[in-house]
Amino acid sequence: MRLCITGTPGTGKTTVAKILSEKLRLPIYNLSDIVKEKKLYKSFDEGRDAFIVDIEKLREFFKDKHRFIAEGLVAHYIPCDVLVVLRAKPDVIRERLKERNYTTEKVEENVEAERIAYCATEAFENFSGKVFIHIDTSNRTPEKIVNVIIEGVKRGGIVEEIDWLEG
Amino acid sequence: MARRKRGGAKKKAKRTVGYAIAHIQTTFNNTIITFTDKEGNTLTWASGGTVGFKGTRKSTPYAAQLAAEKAAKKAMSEYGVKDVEIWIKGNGGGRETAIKAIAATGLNIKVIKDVTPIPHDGCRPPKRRRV
Ligand SMILES: Nc1ncnc2c1ncn2[C@@H]1O[C@H](COP(=O)(O)OP(=O)(O)O)[C@@H](O)[C@H]1O
Ligand SMILES: [Mg+2]
Repeated sequence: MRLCITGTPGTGKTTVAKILSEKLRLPIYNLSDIVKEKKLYKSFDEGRDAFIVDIEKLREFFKDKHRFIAEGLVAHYIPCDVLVVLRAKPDVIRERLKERNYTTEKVEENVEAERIAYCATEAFENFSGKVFIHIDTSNRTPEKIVNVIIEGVKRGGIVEEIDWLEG
Repeated sequence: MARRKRGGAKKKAKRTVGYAIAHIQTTFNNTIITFTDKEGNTLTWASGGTVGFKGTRKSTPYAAQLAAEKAAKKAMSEYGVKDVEIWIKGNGGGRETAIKAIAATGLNIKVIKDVTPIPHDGCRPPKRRRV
């Protein structure tokens, strides 16, 4: 199974991927690490201190792989069988990211990116696989989220209605 | 601080704001348009939800069009807005329709700025190609 987990930083991708990989016995690829390690970027964004991912190179890297969990904020650009989009209330994202040594600017831009559903919008548009799972992590434990994902895979998908623009 | 006596239930006259900013925010499932003055104070707003749509229908271009029209007309009639800057945020389907709907109301669009926030954690997605 090719399972991708996307979402704004702080939605819990890494946490959920670890539990899922044990349950499903699939190797994990952390995309931020892979992109740097394998140089799957095309340039560097000085202002944001971030590598700009080269989507073609990213896809090329996963082309011959058939059993994996790929987690990262560009995971929805990788062809897969199951695509999981994790969401969280903007305030929850802010609290989670404040724990990291991010600048206030970096925290707030990510909070805004979640508010306008950046990853989710791109994910909905790019998806061509079988199972689409879109869930709110705000009031769920990581274990609970993993169970919802596994249930979603069995049911052929779950799309929760999530809209932070107007409650 | 001296307290000024307010006269009964008399409605405060709305001020005139000739030049406003129209903030369009779009996601895969909604579009919201907020008119503010140059300082960022909200004058009026409308969304796919406030023009009567629920669920997936909030995301249709038609919902974005109605929301943009509603907010623009209110900004014109209640605040006398004539010129606008459009600040657009997000990659949802309502982008183009909302801009066109604002233009169609007769407001004079001075500039259109893309202020979409980009998620990043040491990596970031490339900017989307736009036509
Ligand atoms: N479901 C959850 N409930 C509460 N806290 C969570 C949850 N998932 C993750 N966290 C915490 O939030 C922070 C971000 O989680 P992480 O998995 O690193 O997110 P991501 O990989 O999406 O950036 C971590 O401190 C993590 O322990
Ligand atoms: Mg992570």
